[in-house]
Amino acid sequence: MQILLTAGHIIGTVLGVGGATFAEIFYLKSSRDGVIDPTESGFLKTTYFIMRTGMIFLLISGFGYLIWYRFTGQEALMYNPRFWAKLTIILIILANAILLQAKKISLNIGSAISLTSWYGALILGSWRTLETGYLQILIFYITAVFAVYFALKIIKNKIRIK
Amino acid sequence: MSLILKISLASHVILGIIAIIFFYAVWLNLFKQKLNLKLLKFSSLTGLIAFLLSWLTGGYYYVVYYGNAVRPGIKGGQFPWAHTIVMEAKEHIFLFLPFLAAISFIVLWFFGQTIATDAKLKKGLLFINAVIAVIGTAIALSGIIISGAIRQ
Repeated sequence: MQILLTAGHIIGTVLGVGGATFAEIFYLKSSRDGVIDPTESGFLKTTYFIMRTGMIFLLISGFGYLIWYRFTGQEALMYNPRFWAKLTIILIILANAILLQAKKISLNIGSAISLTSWYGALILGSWRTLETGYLQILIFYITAVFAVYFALKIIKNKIRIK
Repeated sequence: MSLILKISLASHVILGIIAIIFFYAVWLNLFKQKLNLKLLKFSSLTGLIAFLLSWLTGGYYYVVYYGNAVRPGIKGGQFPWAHTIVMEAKEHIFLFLPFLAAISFIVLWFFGQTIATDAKLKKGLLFINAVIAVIGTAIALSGIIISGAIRQ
């Protein structure tokens, strides 16, 4: 059972983080001329679909882990601040997707949140020895979102076709 | 905990998550300019069935096991508020979900063709699905808080 859960979680992470990375690369490449044509839009839609598939894998296997903890007497793990920080970041990914779809935030902000969040969730999931509080993790995460936003802005300006 | 109770608890959790995923998908897809009615109908039906089954399996676990074996442990433990506040809220707010899900299902299956042209109906449907997804997520997080309060 645990092997199945781990496999599901790894597949979800790979699809999600990989999808977020390629979504950003495709977005940066396709917005070089300031216009996203239908072919480029098709590539972006495919990567978004892959990211959403990854999220479904992550959610099902993640809650599978929680059931496993409950059955094996490891309930204390559910009060771990690192786990709640990861959950918060996953909720931010979901809210970000809604805001992007509803066109309530720009693609520049949305993609910075998405990219940072997916990598943040990956780091929090794999850094099992991290002993930091919930607020500290979130402050670091918010700082990282701003840093990624400005870094992507610089890259976008540098590669723009003049 | 017997095998049937373990299956009930696991089904309650996973079916609840599946239901939230499908209603989140309805919410997300309703924002699209070109609506995929087939996908919306399928998602609302699957979500509704999953919520109803999650309700039944969760109810069985609560009545047969939680009340006698788990609740006293939580109330007498380190985090009694996990039951007195979180569980009490969860078990009442949860009741809204299957009914809201049924409204979303009925609108999509019987008035689906008019959503694209009726802005008011679409706005209402968007609101209902947003409420389902948000309440569903809050309920799922409550479940984690309650389960985490159980210490052997």
